[in-house]
Amino acid sequence: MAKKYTMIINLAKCIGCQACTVACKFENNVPEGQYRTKTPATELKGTYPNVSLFFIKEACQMCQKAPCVSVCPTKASYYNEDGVVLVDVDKCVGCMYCMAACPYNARFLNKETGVVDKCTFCYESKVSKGEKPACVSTCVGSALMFGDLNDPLSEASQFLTKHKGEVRKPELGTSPRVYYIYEGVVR
Amino acid sequence: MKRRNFLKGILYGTGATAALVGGFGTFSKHSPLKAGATRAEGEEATVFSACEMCRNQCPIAVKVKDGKVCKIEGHPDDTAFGGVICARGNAGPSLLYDPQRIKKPMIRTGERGEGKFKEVSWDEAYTYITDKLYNVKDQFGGEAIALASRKGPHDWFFRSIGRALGSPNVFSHEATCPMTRSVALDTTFGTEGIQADYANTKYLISIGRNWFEGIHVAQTRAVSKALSKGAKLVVLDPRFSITAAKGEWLPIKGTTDLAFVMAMANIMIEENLYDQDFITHYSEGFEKWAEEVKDKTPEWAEKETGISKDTIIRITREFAAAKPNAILDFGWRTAYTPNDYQLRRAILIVNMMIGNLEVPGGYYKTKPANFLKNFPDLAGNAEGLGGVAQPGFPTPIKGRIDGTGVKGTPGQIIPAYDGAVGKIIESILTEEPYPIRAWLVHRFNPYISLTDSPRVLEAFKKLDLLVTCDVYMTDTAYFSDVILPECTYLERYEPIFDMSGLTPKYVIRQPAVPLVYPDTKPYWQIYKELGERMGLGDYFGFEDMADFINQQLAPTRLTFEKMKEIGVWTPSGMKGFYIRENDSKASLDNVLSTPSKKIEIFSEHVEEATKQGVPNYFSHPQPEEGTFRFVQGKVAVHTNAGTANVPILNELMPTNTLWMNPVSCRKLDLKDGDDIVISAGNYEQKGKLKMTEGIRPDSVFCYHGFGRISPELKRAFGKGINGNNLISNEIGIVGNAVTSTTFVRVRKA
Amino acid sequence: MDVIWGVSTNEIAWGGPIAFYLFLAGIAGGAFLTASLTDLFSKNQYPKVIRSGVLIAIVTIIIGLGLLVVDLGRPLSFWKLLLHVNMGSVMSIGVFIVSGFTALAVVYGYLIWLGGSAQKRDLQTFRKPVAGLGILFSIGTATYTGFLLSAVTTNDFWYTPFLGITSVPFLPILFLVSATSTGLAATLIGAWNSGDLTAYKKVDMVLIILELVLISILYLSVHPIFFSGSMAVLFWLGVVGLGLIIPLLISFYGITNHKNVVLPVCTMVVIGGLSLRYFVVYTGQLF
Ligand SMILES: Nc1nc2c(c(=O)[nH]1)N[C@H]1C(S)=C(S)[C@@H](COP(=O)(O)OP(=O)(O)OC[C@H]3O[C@@H](n4cnc5c(=O)[nH]c(N)nc54)[C@H](O)[C@@H]3O)O[C@H]1N2
Ligand SMILES: Nc1nc2c(c(=O)[nH]1)N[C@H]1C(S)=C(S)[C@@H](COP(=O)(O)OP(=O)(O)OC[C@H]3O[C@@H](n4cnc5c(=O)[nH]c(N)nc54)[C@H](O)[C@@H]3O)O[C@H]1N2
Ligand code: SF4
Ligand code: SF4
Ligand code: SF4
Ligand code: SF4
Ligand code: SF4
Ligand SMILES: [Mo]
Repeated sequence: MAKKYTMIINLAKCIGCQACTVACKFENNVPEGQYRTKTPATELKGTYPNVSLFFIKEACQMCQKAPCVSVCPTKASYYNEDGVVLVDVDKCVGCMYCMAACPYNARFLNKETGVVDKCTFCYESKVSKGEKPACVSTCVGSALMFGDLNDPLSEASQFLTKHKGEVRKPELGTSPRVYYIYEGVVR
Repeated sequence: MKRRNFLKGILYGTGATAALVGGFGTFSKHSPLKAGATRAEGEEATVFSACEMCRNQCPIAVKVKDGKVCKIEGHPDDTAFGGVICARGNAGPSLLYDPQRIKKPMIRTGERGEGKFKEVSWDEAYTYITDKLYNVKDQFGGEAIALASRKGPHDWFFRSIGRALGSPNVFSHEATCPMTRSVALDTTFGTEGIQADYANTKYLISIGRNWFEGIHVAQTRAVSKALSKGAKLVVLDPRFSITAAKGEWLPIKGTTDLAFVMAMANIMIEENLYDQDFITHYSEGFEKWAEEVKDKTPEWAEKETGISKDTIIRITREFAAAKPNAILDFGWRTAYTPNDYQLRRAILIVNMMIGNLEVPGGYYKTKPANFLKNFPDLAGNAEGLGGVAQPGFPTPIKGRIDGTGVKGTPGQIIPAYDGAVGKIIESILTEEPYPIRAWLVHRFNPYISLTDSPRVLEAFKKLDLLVTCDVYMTDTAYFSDVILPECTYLERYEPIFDMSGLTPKYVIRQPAVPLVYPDTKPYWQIYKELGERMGLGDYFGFEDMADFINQQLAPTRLTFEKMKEIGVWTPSGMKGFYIRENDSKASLDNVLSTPSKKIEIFSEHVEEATKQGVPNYFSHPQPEEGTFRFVQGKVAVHTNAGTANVPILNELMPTNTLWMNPVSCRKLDLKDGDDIVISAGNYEQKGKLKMTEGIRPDSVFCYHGFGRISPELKRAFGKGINGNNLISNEIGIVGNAVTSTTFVRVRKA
Repeated sequence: MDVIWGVSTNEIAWGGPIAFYLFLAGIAGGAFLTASLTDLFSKNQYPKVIRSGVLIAIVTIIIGLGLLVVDLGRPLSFWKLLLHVNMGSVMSIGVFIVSGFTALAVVYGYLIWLGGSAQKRDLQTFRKPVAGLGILFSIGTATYTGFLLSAVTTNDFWYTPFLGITSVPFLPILFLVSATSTGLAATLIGAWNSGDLTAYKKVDMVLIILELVLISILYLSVHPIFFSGSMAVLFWLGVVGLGLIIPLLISFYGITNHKNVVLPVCTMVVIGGLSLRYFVVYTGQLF
């Protein structure tokens, strides 16, 4: 059965350590100065001494109604059987239309290959082999969770029944498959 | 493989060391090491080893593809780590393949600090060092030679050189780091081997301990886990660290923590919140402590610390209510004030007041194999490591420059293994008590790490010989006479590490790939060869690292092959245990090694050494209008004085900034991002300003490890603030560095 | 600053080359329209205008396409755009429209060029059908540049609907008017010495007024944030001032005083058109 892969980002637990950022670079051979994911701090809120801050991991949101896929002139951007948005490097011409269309700034033109690159959920190198994505397995704060929402017993499904997962920019109707848990952080 | 036999033949001969090529330096005759050998194209392999992007040595699984390290992961079988490593650990390959690493031994040709060097063979380097060291020894005595390294497994090899020459002056970096805590542990429990069980704690108070930036993967994960289970975290820190962001932030006035801790004790006694049974049963000298804190009321502490008395009372009650599963953390980098040692003792005492020793969620004694010997039903789980025998070292003629071991002075309680490393600078410059003329530095960068960088440079310039062994042309290396290029941790074997915690644990480091730069070598080989060249070969009674490891493992049931295969060993099926978990009166005789076999709240020794048998309060000056307390801390993506130039980490964070509260910025007419000059006395340092609500208005802060002056660190050179440029070289009671008592002024550049 | 503390900023995917391409494609479409309509309705009066228009159309579309290809991450794989088709993608459709347009423009140019010579008169029978078909493709080219952006439905600026009617995107309309205006202006620059161009100038004024109206609608329909920041100057000085108001005023002056002021006015209109493309392309990605 097809999977419904999801990533859950528990913001209260993320410590902004960037282990995910670096792991992703090596797992996916991302060129210098470019990133499939980063975890910058949000702006500090409040005034001294009542302040708060959290980090928010950024990467492809795996939209199920993905603007990047619909605009792509060559069908290089596509949904695979498990609902993961991927880029077929053979078909991509590097027109960057998808980059202009992605509302999450998730894509970049890979300096070395000339084709568009982005988070793949580590589909080929990890997930298809039953392993977790590189960022998830190295997450120091245990803030990241990965799983199959079609499996009601998966950790991810179980977690989302108990916690409110929110997507970024829901008003755009992109139906992301990356969920953010805001419990315990001050927005 | 014929070539290997040939190489082995010449390897330890004196002449042909320069002939070592790709990886053979790490080969052994006992076991051709697959890991180090070049792999066939397309072959993928996992090599278990240990990280060294910082000294935490986390167990790792190195992924090798086409003969190159492509990725590093956490060792999957070590549950404390859960396959996790931090950003720096992940960045390992970036260091390994950095073309800016040093690749050849070098000898200075120009003026010191001019940056002119010639590449030489190892043999020339050894000869040069040998001649110079013997010159110094002949002229000034062996004691004129100092050695300093970051504490670690290299010490055994590195230090043998100095000790064999009769020098008492071998130092670790500890005085800049956990020294005050170590001495506090030692004088209170009779052992430094005490750890905190964060994962099971219900209430955790940090006195500046910054688990989420000063990362130790197992500890950071344990704290995270506790928080997930609902533990409360309180963080005392003058600035809003990421750790503070995950708990209740109490922006304490720097250097006043002891007032907070004493007030806690005062409240606990006043309100009878402490564990009297535990105190009576296990400790000594409590009355003296009670007397000392009698007037340390919350009202008083409010004035000292800037934290309201209500908050102090509330936190204390919450802490006591969670007893014994609560931790008032003993800190890690514990070098804020000269009196930091008494703060750490006071912290330990307050912990003991809730009886949190040897219970889950409190403190526990590490349990290596030799500790298990005391428990007949557990003793079978593990055997202690053996070692390589060494002949006795000559007794030094003079005492150490830092006075360790001298009765009736603080030196009495300073561990001679570590010493007060900052004293080296003083001794070079003031020649008191006698001059240091030669300094060997290993895996340490005193220019960035010791306080008073300008004075450190001055000291470098006065030396007859400065030798640095590193992987980069660090600031210290740049001023050295001889630079020895070590290979990285991903290219070498090292002795088995004993990393026991709640159970015994052994970890191996082995090469994942052959030498990337064939003229680099592992430390054990460097010092063995140097030792042999100096005629001190007897101190290096092993053939190579395989032989060394075999000698270590001989008493155990483990083999070298087995360790290479598994990477990490713990006794199978053994669960961690806490002696008092089920019996709150269980004997702690095996834990406590103080003269009295009790927890020494009052200590005769300490009284003798420091005149403070129980911790006394000292009020440190607070900043006046227009000046700011200057504090520093770690950042998650860099290691101390080490990684500013590692390509990918430099990319993530190339520089640091000076944090300042907007209220203070307005007074000084400064804006976010302004170029500024920070000054302290005669010292100045340029930088950039970060305006943030996350700091006390009377303090400024920067991340440590920037402001590098070696032009060979091409990415990091000249970027950011080196805090130690502004801090004077004050040496605390137990020889510790002092990094939070400096006041600075800030103006627009 | 750095990855940890730096607030992440929106990166520009489509920059100068694309803005310039959109501008050139607009000019090409507008110039072709000018030439072909002249050809169809008043051939003999303005031969220079026809020739100028066609030549400009061919040159600009070829330079534009060149830019587009060079700007690809993999320029040499541009042919895959023809091989792998996505009928749901404006760009994919656009590739065919622009290719068709380019081919027609070249053919039409050839016919115009031949027009002077007496031979091959039979070929001239194709001229009007080619012009007619070309008109469709030039409108297609000019509007497609707008659709390319407005198809990004998640982009609040590019996706702006016309007067709130969600099914009618705004940019294709604006770009069509601007393309016609700039194409006409460019054509007139090429034919500036061909006598009385008052008729064209009047058309031009109508177009400018129309564009002013459209720009006002745009200004009122989107969030004010899009008119703040680094692109605001370009908008007010380049698009509105230099591109619309000043040429309009000069044109009025010219017409009422019977002065020939083709060159300055048309140059300003063209620069205004370029500013508009830059403004729209960048602003849509900055916020
Ligand atoms: N990512 C990363 N991890 C590391 C390291 C690294 O360099 N990078 N280094 C490793 C090493 S060597 C060590 S020692 C540990 C250090 O681990 P920690 O000791 O936890 O780390 P620091 O960030 O130095 O923490 C010092 C904190 O104390 C605050 N502070 C300064 N003065 C005072 C004071 O007077 N009172 C109080 N209450 N707070 C004060 C500072 O603002 C800072 O936030 O981290 C280890 N882990
Ligand atoms: N003002 C101020 N001063 C401080 C601190 C502070 O917060 N503020 N922090 C203090 C603390 S907690 C500490 S622990 C010290 C740390 O001080 P150091 O021990 O000097 O710092 P590290 O970054 O751990 O490593 C030092 C050197 O080891 C080198 N190195 C890395 N790997 C290898 C290897 O495999 N072989 C060899 N030979 N060299 C290697 C690195 O290139 C680096 O030059 O600094 C202290 N100094
Ligand atoms: S986040 Fe961007 S790249 Fe990822 S699926 Fe959505 S639109 Fe596409
Ligand atoms: S850059 Fe590649 S993936 Fe993106 S739209 Fe163009 S062809 Fe498709
Ligand atoms: S899932 Fe893989 S590709 Fe995506 S951010 Fe994580 S490591 Fe990078
Ligand atoms: S590794 Fe985990 S905790 Fe660290 S920054 Fe990434 S998501 Fe956050
Ligand atoms: S804490 Fe990070 S850098 Fe230090 S040893 Fe562990 S993984 Fe390596
Ligand atoms: Mo440290």
